Amino acid sequence: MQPISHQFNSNVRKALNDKELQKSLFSAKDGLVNNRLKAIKVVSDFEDLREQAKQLKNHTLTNLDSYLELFEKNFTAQGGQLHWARDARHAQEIIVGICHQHEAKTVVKGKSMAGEEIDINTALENAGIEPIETDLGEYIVQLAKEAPSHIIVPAVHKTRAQISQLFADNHKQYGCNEKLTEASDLVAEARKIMRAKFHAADVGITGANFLVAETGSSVIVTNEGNGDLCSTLPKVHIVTAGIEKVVPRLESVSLLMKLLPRSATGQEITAYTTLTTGPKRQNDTDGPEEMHIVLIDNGRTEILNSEISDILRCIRCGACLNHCPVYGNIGGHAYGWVYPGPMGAVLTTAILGLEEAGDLPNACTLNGRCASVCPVKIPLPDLLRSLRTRQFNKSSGSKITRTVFALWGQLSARPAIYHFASGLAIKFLGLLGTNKGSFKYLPFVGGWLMSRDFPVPEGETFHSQWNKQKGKHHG
Amino acid sequence: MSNSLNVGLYVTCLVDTMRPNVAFASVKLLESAGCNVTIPRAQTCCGQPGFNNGDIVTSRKLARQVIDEYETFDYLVAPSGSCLGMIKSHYPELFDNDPVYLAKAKQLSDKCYEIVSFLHDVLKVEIDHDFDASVTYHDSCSGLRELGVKSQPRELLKKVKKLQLVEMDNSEVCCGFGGSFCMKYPEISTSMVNDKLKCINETQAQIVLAGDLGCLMNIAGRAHRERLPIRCFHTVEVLANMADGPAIGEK
Amino acid sequence: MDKDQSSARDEILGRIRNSTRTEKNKSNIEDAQTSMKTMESATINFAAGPDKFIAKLNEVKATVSVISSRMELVREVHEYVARHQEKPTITLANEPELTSLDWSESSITTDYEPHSISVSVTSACYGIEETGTLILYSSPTSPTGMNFLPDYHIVTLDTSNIVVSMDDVWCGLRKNEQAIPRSINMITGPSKTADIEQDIQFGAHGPKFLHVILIQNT
Repeated sequence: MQPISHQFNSNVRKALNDKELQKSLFSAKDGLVNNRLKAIKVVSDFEDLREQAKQLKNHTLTNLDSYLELFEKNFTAQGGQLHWARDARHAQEIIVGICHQHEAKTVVKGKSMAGEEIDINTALENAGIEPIETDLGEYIVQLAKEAPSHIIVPAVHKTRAQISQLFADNHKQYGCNEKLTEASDLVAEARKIMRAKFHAADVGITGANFLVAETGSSVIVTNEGNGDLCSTLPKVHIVTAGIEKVVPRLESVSLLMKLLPRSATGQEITAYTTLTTGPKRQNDTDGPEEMHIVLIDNGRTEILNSEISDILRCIRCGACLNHCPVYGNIGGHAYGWVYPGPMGAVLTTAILGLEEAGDLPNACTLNGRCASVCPVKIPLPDLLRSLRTRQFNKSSGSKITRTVFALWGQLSARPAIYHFASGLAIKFLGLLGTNKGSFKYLPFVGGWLMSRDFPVPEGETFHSQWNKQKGKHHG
Repeated sequence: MSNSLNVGLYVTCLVDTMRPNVAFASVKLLESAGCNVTIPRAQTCCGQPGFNNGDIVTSRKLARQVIDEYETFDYLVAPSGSCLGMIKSHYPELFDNDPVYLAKAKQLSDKCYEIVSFLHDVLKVEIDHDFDASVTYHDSCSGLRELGVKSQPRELLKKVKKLQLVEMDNSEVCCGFGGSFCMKYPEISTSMVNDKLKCINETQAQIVLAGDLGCLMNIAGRAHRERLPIRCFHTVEVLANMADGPAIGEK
Repeated sequence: MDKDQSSARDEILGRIRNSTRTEKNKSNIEDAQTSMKTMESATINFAAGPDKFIAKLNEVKATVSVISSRMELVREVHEYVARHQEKPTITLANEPELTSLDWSESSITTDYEPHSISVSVTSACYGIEETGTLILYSSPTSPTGMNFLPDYHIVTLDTSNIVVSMDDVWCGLRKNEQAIPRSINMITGPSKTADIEQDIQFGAHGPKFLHVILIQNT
């Protein structure tokens, strides 16, 4: 998708005024939080697991080149074809190239955030190939011609009524003329329509939750089964995965699987966790004849070499989104690109740059709830602060903010002047607010006063009162 | 007496300018527990606004000022989880390339406390007065997550006779203040404080307490604009029996 | 590998190697894994009995029946299918342990027909007690599609192959020294989705019903 992070403020306004979105966000929030809590309560060593996972990921990042080479060796030994993509455009070229080689007309897709990141759907469409999203949530947003708004539940912003209308509008071409309203009926209709598409597709594209170096296996973690159909029925299977998806051994998967589903949806494990190791074997009855994995850099190596490299530990569980009060109020689209919420505020900014996404690291209270639930202990507030420092050092970002804080800093470094000036200001405000408890109007604090009253100060600073009262204690 | 703890009170700029009563309540509580309380003259800002907005240089300058000013005390105590979090968790991060100040920052970090946790964990104060009201408590984010302040205010409030403590849903969710955030993104901030007020309303409590004035001004400010009968005080004002005057934003 | 691919590979690996975060002193690929081996199980921990596994299967909305010998399998499959469907064709995985049984009365096939398969019977290699998960390996006689395409998926498992955790499955895989199969499906309950207002619905794309027949060999 084309990024619109640069119009963050208008995205936010739109989101806050969208009654249906607000309704959906409100009803989804608590459920996702509570389901996770229930799921982790039964694991007595959950905190230990988080620490182990952090260490595992750190170890892998420190040895990323070795693990990628090992993965390559084992995957190719099983007949797989590995591709290295420098950036989104390169990944698009590789994938479209494979599709053209096979004269593909339709491609069925399992959910892949990396696929969204490289905007593969647009590239396929431009090449005359039809991409069909098969994950129900992704299918819904595809019909709505929208981007996903959450990395785990892409259509969380849609109500059942909206989905019912989308199906009614778009399924007539399949002979479905009844407008369905029950969730079970909607799912059954999608299943029927999608089944034909799975069988007809020339190529299947999925993401990968993990790439296991020890065996050359690609792992997907799903509930619907669509990912497995994408990677089994078509003649060609392509996997899109960031380079940081590699993990050392099979036991790495079991460790991360103790954390990922619990953190994401509150499940102990998903309905389907599948390890795929290469294409169809000689006597196999089914399976793709070719299996390709496209390893994507797209800025990750630059991130690895920076002060925000901890973000590469992310296992895309979405827990930070689910616990972020900012995300919970503005939804995913406001962030303007593929990755929303706290991890998105870091990753989107890191990949697209501060020019495009400069608001994202700033639209955060640094409350830390995200970091407290991250299964791999990414210090998200620290990373956002690092991006703000980058911004400050580049002299980009709001000039007003910079000026105000510079003045404040200068004043604070001169205590005598600070106390004198603040004393005067507070006296003035106190006088202005005589007989009032709060101000409704004041210059310079428009942002606050737009929706809040501002308390009238007592009229004398504490230091001034203390000086008068207790000279003998003053240090 | 030589066994008294020498406490340097870090007043914080918000308390100093907007609500000195919180500092007076802090002094009263500390002195009643036998501490020698000093208010160092040269304290201004802890450097957090600059730190959170990427101005590390200014932040470092202000941190040195605080470190120097509080070096000789047994403890630095502050009526704010936010400022204390800055001093405790982030000051050491500012001095990677300055071993002298790194050592000093670590020393200060070890002996600084948010006031309610100081009263509970170190001074083990007893409370001996009434406060007849239903009260709900908002967990300010820095205090909660950087300093682990959670049970201490609740346990101390339970000692106040006649006080009925009612827990709100989502007490740990950010109220939307976030320092400069509420000024830079006022619409999101308002949406967040609306959620907080909803949870407060559901408790039907008369009074909201918290350990950070920023949060309280935010909650009180929105409540007044919406004409909601919610009164906000800092926890220490209730603990010190100094909550009989106007609440935040009241005359 | 073509020239452009080779250079992309070199660039990416080169940038990784030069990054400040990367360990510079490692000697070879296998060494990087040494510390990871301490995480591994040396022995397979088999479950003490099937009860916890059965409880988990119920929790994840799979149905279960327990039989005391493979001889009862035919009757059990028929009874399950009769409760749910009118005279379907049952597709068996083409494995001797299934095909050697007396299916004479039924409409059975071992011809895998992906477009019309509605009931399948396959065998699991392991069950994981901790989560109620079935482990199925793809093979020439048991194509992956049999686990995903039908509406009803029936899985047989010997109770002696119920292990405690996922790590035990990896241990088993390594001990058996068989090549890792093309696909390992770890299946926990039927297909589901919560994409419509967080309301869980079954049969999203995979089977709507999962029935497990545990064979308790005494």
